[in-house]
Amino acid sequence: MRLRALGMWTNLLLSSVLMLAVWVLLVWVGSRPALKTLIDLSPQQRATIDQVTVDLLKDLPRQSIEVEFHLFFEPMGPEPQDAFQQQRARIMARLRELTEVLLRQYVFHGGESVTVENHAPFGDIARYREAAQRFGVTQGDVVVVAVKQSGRPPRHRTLSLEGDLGVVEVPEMRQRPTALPTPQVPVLKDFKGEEALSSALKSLLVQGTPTVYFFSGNSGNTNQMTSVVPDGYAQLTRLLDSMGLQCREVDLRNGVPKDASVVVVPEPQRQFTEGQVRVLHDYVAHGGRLVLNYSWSGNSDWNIGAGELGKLFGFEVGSRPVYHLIPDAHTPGSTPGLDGNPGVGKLDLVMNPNHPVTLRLARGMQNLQFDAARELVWTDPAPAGVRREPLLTTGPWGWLATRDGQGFPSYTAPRSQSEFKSRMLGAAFEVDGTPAADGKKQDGIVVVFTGVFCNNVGVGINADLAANVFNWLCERRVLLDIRGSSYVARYLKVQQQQFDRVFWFLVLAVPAAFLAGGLFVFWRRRSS
Amino acid sequence: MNGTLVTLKKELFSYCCSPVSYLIAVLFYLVRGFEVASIIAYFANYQIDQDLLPTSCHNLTSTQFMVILVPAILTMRCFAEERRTGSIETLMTAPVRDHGVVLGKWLAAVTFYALLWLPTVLLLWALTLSPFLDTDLAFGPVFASYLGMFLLSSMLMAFGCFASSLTDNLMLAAIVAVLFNLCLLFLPRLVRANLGVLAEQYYVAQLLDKFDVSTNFAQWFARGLIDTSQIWFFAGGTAFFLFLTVQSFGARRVA
Amino acid sequence: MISVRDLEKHFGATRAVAGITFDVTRGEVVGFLGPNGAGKTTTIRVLTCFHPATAGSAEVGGCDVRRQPVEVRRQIGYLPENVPLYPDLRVEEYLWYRAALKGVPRRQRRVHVERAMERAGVVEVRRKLVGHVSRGYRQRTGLADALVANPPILILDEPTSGLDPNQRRRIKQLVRELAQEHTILFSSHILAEVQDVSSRILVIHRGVLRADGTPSQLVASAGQRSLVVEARAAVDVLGQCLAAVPGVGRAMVEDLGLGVASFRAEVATGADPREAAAAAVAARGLQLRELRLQLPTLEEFFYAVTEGADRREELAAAGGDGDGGAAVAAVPEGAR
Repeated sequence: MRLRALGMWTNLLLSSVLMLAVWVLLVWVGSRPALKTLIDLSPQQRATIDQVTVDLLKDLPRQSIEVEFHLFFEPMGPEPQDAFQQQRARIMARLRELTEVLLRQYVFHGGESVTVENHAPFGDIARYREAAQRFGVTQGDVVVVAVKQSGRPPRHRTLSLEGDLGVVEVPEMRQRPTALPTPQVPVLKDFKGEEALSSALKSLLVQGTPTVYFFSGNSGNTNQMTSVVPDGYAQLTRLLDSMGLQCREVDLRNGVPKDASVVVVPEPQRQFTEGQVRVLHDYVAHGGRLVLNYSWSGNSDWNIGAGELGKLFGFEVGSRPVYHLIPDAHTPGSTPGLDGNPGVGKLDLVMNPNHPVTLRLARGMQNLQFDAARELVWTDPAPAGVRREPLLTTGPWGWLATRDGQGFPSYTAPRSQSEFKSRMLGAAFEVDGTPAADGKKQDGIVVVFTGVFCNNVGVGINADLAANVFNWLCERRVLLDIRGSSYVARYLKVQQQQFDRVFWFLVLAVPAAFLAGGLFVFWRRRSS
Repeated sequence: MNGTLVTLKKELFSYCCSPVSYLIAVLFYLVRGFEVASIIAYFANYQIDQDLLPTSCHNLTSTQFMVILVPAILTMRCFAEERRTGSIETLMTAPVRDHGVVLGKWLAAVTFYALLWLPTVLLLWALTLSPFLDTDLAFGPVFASYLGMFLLSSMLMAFGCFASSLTDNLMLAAIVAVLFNLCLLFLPRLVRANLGVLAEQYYVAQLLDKFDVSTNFAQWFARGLIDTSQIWFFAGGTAFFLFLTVQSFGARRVA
Repeated sequence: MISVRDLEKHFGATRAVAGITFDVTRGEVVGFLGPNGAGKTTTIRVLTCFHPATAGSAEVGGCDVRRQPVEVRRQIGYLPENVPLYPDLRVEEYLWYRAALKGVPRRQRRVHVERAMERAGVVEVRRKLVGHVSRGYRQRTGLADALVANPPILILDEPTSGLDPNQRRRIKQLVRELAQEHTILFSSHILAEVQDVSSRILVIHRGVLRADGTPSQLVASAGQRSLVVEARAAVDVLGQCLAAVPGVGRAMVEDLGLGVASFRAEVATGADPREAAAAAVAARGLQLRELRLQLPTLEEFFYAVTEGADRREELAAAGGDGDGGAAVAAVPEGAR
């Protein structure tokens, strides 16, 4: 009897263990990459990633590459007071959510090669600090894409949630607190998470280092890149080096080298020749990136205009320097006085909060300055196939200086109010690409600044701007051919009447219907 | 299979005639109505992207109630009541197989639970009509959540059937089932938080991942993503507990 | 149809059934008789495949209960002791469900259910909830359930427990009707019913089969028959008159008062002294009031094989230590 009971219990135990093993097996089999699928029913399929990204991710194990996505999201603070910040907070929340959902897909396809780590400052403090230090993260809401590959040093790329992954539109360029305009609420226009993340990933995986070519042929100094004098560019070279870019000189006689990620023309003082214009225009039209850094010189001969190149891209550079009034720092909200002051040549820059290059700087309220600059003016109408966007402007009290009796630009401000307005000092141009032999085309970018911003002196103040510019340009270089659908954010508009109906329907009608149903059933069952 | 269908029909009929079911429905939809209405108000006032609406409807108190308590309530009387009243004798002496009966009862509970949830989908659809919100909402996450809920509940109710088959005390069966639900929903996160370094170890992490049902739900199903590997997890778990139930139910014959 | 061989069922240390052997052939109505806790329900539960046997074997309709339980269950219509039903279903709904569960094909379900309801007599309460009908109707619903699939064998566990005399009579009548088409095994501890209805009786006590035979066979082996005569006469006159009647054994005469005496005597096995007694009384010129041959009751037999046997065993065990044979011989006849 005992034996039989024992036998029965053993049988039960064994079969239970077997069944458990079956469960484990089922789960394991189901997790194999070949058998896993992700069905995406999310709104607007924000989570479905392009085959290009899938291929990229599936290739990782083969190359023994480990990819880490580190999320540094701002913690939810107290509800901000003004509408602008409130809405911004909500947009950021939405972007965080979209990014997390997207990264889930990356994890899904990448399997064990991809990990996502969400660093919360109030979680594991030590870990957060260590990670923040490793990647040089100083502000929140960034995604760091880090790649570890055997035989190569670990590399990473930092992407901003607001600037790189999301497209947030702020109706007006926001200025410093003393400025006047009233803010309107920002709006989330698009989410380009996949493009940004995959491009960053691809650029990290790409063999070879991006190269920045300097064309100093038309500039004053010829040893720009290595020169350590105040107006040399050694500092910039070092900065670019630390970003993983190498700097070379180029002479445009043989065109632009194939491996050029960016071509920089620092402070041209002579007009481009026809050949050079053609070479540069060609380069841009085939997806090239060009930085034209004009400057102001005391020698008026060197204050050249934009010339042919300018006509092609749709801009012109004025010859007079731009000066700006200094508002009374002690009286907030004061309008600037009309008396001249020697310091007005230094221009505090107002940045476009919507453009990836300047967005973080704008939000972070950084103080960037040009020592001297000329005005950048757009031609009207814009050339076909060119999209223009301002990057930097002065404050609203900028004017164009006229020469005084000694031939120097006068610091005396003009009398007439109409002379004062916001003057553009930097812009970005997107040029439609012309199809290459294989039919593919890529848009080119031109960034124009009309004041020196990144020589050895300037880089000290404007390092972030320089870094942003080159970062942005180099990344776009390896933009993957991702056909992302545009993301449309929709908002509920509910009138009070509608809402009342909704409320009574949900709270009264539905439960009452169930109650009535229950009573009806109860009554029917009781009666025979 | 004959036994399954017959039992299924009879149990489903019993559920539909029982006042407790209607009580649950009224309570659930009342609380949920308040919550959904306030979510809609919040979305409208604060200009939040309406694609988030279906996802926000997931993490509500009413949902927690439905997931933690109701499966236990529905399954507590499956077998325990039969043992208590003695009708298990007529059941087990009828020419039906054990697994047929178990399957039928479990299916009835799951079907009824799905029916209890169905109006939430219909409600959301009704809200998109003209007298109400007059907009179109993204239903992808709604369907994904519904599927996830269905899978989760089938596993919870399989355990509930098992708990019910172990005792003749309804209350005890219900309490055991509720404890299981709570553990499944909250324990993995707790364990992960407290294990520290051990949680990094590959197999432990994988195990915790799979069992972390609430996180999986909130981050996958509620957002509209259906990961098929999770379906296997729920299916395997359901099969395991149903197997245990059949063994337990038929134990009387073997003992 | 049913054959049980050396069946044993233990619950832990308790031996509920300790080796019983019996057969039930087709068309028989077998009454399973025994005190409470004797092992009737346990035996029935083994036959219906609700409990497995600890040892021994049982076969129903040619199918072994251990190896072919589903076939066995298909042949049996079972009414358990407490008639457990589902209180939230109507009577007809319950029967529909049970018919479906027992595998009655859909097309024939209506016919089967109607017939079962008619035979069990629950047609008038068909639309009532099972929880709301009286005890008697519940019992009959259970019976209808047992009948609904028209099985060849009916096993009824205490079908009349808790019913009033009228209801009991009805059930007995029903069982008699059913006996014409089904083989019935039913258990009871009410002797009168078993005696009336069964063609054969099995007496079980403490898990052991104590008797197996037709009612008359059992009664015949039960105890003494008695001759009872009541006449208007003096006690000794009556005694003398009847003492000589052949077949009459030890007698006891009693004065009933008002000049009436009662004569009671044991009758030898096989003898029937009634006519001779009547003639003797007439010859003496006494006025006869009553003359009858009193058969031993099944109750006496029942007591004899159950508690009586227990007492004998106890005494035997006690007497075995002490005086020995003499004590055994001192057991009075009447206690047998």
